[in-house]
This record gives sequence, C-alpha cells and structure tokens, in this order.
Amino acid sequence: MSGSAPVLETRALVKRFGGLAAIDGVDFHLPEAGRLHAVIGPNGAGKTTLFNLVSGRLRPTSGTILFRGEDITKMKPYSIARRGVARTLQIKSVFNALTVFENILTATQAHLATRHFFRPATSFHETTEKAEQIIEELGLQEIAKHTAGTLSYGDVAMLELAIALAAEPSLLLLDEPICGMSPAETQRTVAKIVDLSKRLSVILIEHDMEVVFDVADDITVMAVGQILAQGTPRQIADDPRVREAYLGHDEDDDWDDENIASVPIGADVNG
Amino acid sequence: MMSINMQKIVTLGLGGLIFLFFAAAPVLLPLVTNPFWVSIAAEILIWSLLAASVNLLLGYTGLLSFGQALYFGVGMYGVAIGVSKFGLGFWPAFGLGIFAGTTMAAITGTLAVRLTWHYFAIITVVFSLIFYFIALTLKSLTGGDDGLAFSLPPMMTWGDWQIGLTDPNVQYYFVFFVVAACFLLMGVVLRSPFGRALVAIRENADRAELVGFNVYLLRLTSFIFAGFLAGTAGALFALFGRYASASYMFYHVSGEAVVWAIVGGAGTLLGPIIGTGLLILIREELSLYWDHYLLLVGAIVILTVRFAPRGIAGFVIDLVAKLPAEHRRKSENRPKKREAAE
Repeated sequence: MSGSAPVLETRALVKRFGGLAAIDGVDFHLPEAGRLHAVIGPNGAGKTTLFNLVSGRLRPTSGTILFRGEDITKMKPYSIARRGVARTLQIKSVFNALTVFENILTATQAHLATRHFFRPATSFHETTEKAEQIIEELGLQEIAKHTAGTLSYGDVAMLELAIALAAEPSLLLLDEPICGMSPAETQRTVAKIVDLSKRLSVILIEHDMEVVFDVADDITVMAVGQILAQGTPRQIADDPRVREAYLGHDEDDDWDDENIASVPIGADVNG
Repeated sequence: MMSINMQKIVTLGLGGLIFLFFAAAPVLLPLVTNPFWVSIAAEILIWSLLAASVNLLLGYTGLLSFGQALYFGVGMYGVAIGVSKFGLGFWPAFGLGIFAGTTMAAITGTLAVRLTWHYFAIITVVFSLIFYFIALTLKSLTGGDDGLAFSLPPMMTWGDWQIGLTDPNVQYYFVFFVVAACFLLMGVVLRSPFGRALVAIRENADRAELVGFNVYLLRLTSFIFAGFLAGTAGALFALFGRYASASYMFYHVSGEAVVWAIVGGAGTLLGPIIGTGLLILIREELSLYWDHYLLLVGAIVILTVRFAPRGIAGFVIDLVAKLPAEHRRKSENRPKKREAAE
C-alpha cells in the first residue's frame, strides 16, 4: 500500500515505569506489507508495552515511532487508529450491550461520530455494507443478532477481530488472540489470521509456540525490554541466544511433553 | 434484531401515550381533579428535562454527573438577569438562558470530561458548589439568598393584543412544546452515528478509542448537549416561576435528578419523564400525610437498582417486547423440532 516507507518502524524506543525500563531501546522494523510477524518472549519482556506504545495508549519516554513514514509518537490512540493501526487487547472486550452487528457497524462509523448528529446511523449504506461484509468474511452470520455480552469467549475474540477490521487497518496488532480458546476455535482463528496477513500487515503476540512457528513469516524475540533476535522461524529456532533466554539452563525440567514433538525449540510457554 | 425492533415499537408506543397524556392534561386534569395539577404536570415536564440531561450522561455516555443543577441554575439566571438587568424581551431572554447554561457546560466540561467514574462525579459536584457560592456572594446581580424575581415580558404583542405566559394555557403549552421538542431532538441525536458512539463509549471507552473514536471530544459534546437540556429546563423554570435562585444550583437538586433518571430508566429515552412524574407525584401527595416520605423514595431507588437496572421504562419495554418475541420463538421452534425428530 505504501511506497518505500516501512509499515512500522521504531527508533531507540524507551519506556520507563519509574526505574524499570519496560522497553529499553527497541529498534523495530517491519518493512513489507502483507506479512505475519510474531513477537515472542517470556512474560515481562515488553511485548504488550510495545503494542501500547505503537497504538498510543502509552507515551514513550524517548524514541520515535513511524507508521508508513509518518511520525505517530505523540498521537492519541484514536488518531493512530484512524491512520490504519488496529489492535486487539489481551483481555478481550467489546461493546457488550450491542448486538454483534451493531458492534461492527458502530466501529465502521467511528469517523462519522463527530460529524453526523441528526441522520440515523442505519442510513449510511456504505458502512452497513462494510459491516455485513466483515460479518461474512469472519463467518459471524449466525451470531450477528446476538447481544455481545452473551457470547462465548471464542466468539468475543472473533468479534474483537471483526471490530478491529472495521477501521480498514493496514497494520493489525493482535495481543494473544487465541489465549483461552478451545482447539476448534484456535484453529478457526489462526486460519483467519493467516488469511488476513495476506492483505495487511499483522503483528502477533503469542505464547503458543506451536502456532507461532507454524504460521509466522518472521519472528522477533524480546527479553527484558530489548530485541534479542529477529528472523525467520528457522533462524530463530536455531539461535542459541533464544534457547538460552527461553529455556534457561536446566532444559529437562522445562520441557513440556506435548510440545516436544511439534515445536522446534520446545519452549516453555508459561515463562 | 427482532427484539430490538420490538423495543423501538414499544418505545414509540409509550412515547405516544405520554405525549397524548401531557397534550391533553390541561383539558383532562381539571375534569377529574383540582386544576392545580395542571401546573404540577408542567413542573414534571420541566424537571424531566433536567433528568433527561442526567440520563444523556449516565444512561448513554456512562458519566455520572451530580452537578447538572448548575446548568439548570445558570439557565434560570440567564433568563432572570436578561429580563431584569438587560431589559430583554421574552424570546431573547429565553435564548440567553439556554445559551448561558450550554456555555457553562462547555467551559466546565472541558475539564470535567477528562475524568471518569467517581472522579467525574466529584468534579461535577465541585463545580456546582463553586458557582453556587459565587451566586450567593454576587448579591447585586443574583439577589443572593432571596433570588431574583422579574416581571414576565409578553411573548408577542400585536397592537393592544398581547400573548404571554400569564395565560395558564399558553404557559402550559409553551412548556409542553419546548420539552417535547427537546425529547424529540434527543431521540434523533441518539440514533445518529454520534449517539451510537456515545453508547460505544458507555460500553467500553478503551475499545472505542482504539477503534478510532475521539472519546474526549465525544464526551465533551455529550456534556455540552446535556448542559443545553439542563439550561433549557432552567430557562423554562425561570419563566414558569418568574424568578431565579441560587438554591436550584445546589447539588441536592442534581441528586434528585439522578434519582429521577435512575428510577425512570437510565439509558432509555422516556425513563426520565416517567421517573420524574412518579417521584414528583409521590412528593406532592405523600408529603402531605407523611413527613418521612423520602424513605419510600429510597426504597424505590434500591428496588429499581436491584431488580430493574434499566428503570421502570426499561422494565416495561423489555416486558412488552418480550411477550411477542417469546410467542414467535415458540411458533418458530415447533416445525424445527419436528424436522429434527424425523
């Protein structure tokens, strides 16, 4: 979509909470559109803080964030969202009192809210069609008329994804999208994410290594607020520093039987 | 979606009934009871607008304000000062009252809506206290404790003939049409993308901001609109009572409006008028016989919050909307079950 400017770039990004540097000099670079990029790392590595900085929920202590070449470092979250950065939250949340359809319709009308005070919301056909299209794309037809507050956790996560897509983002930040899902829901959601990553950039924070190594085009490994390694799943799996950070020293204790067969580095996902 | 449509239909029906009742009140009430109830009906209409102002914030934006009386009081003073100090006519004074209430909301709102939850509630109380004491101090302008009385200018003069609120019917229908217009306006605005955005913010402000809603600006706009409603109510009440007083700015008045809105149904368009009507009725009737009638009001509030979170209006709407829906579901399910059995 953009010319030469990278989709996302952070330069010497630092975020301190008091004395603790949650993000400590991160130079993150997402060059191409249409890739699925996973960010992994033990708890406390700064992954979610990185998302919070990029989406404007936190102000960095220092450093710069560029989205498609534009400096968004000091922008408000809504402003960043309007420019095409969408994100989901680790703790899933939607507009509970509204139906699934209304949730998505409301999200497609974010740009109209401060401009139209008298025309009925249902009369903006472009946004209605858009909402219907998203419903279809994510396969939410059956629950479209259900009140969001009554949905199962998996469906809420799917709806959150739908809401994120309503703003037509070019960068999608997903914070543990499949956490807490049943295997069937996981499969469906992962397939959708892979599908989406073909037309927009996706950055995914995920603890499920099986999924990460299966679907990611690139992986960034973070630890204690810094980028430890970056590369393809193959490169990451072979990286001794990553093994060190994830597994520590005593490998035998940390190995999870279920993961051994399928996960290249047999990571301890609970960090 | 079906039940949502039913809710709309029931709301329209309920609104129609309320509209007809108040439209016919000056004719109907004197037939069955003391004519002074007509002026109680007018008072209910005016105060319901203050409750609507609370409702817009609490029921649709998710902000609990205990300071809406400030904008009501400023609306009153706008009219009273306009008439008695600036010598304004009826309409300019009415306009000044509304404008003053709205402007006060715009000024205090820029600070207030930066906060949420109890911090927001506290700052709204603080603002109303500050201006309450300022109004008490500025005796020459506001009349202090005594308030500021004025003589009513006519609405229209035509040679010798003039029309004004001194005619009780004109007064009642003036109040009726202004209040009806405000409720209609609120209904229209709540259906717009702006109104839907407010509900999104009420439901989940974090998510709304991430989706691209300018939460601060939307909350502020809602606050100003609420100030407009409260200011209009105050301007009406000043014309109705021919005076303004700082005592109406006190947070006690705000608290009453919050109770009316909650009992009637926060988050429903018609809740405020139902709640205001019921509780003013209780006040007028019961307070004659029982000094501690507020105990009953307290019990009603507790029962509403516990058993009907969307108030009386929400309870009625859900009840009526559910009946046909249940019926439909049963008739829809029957053939399906048969299919499954086969």
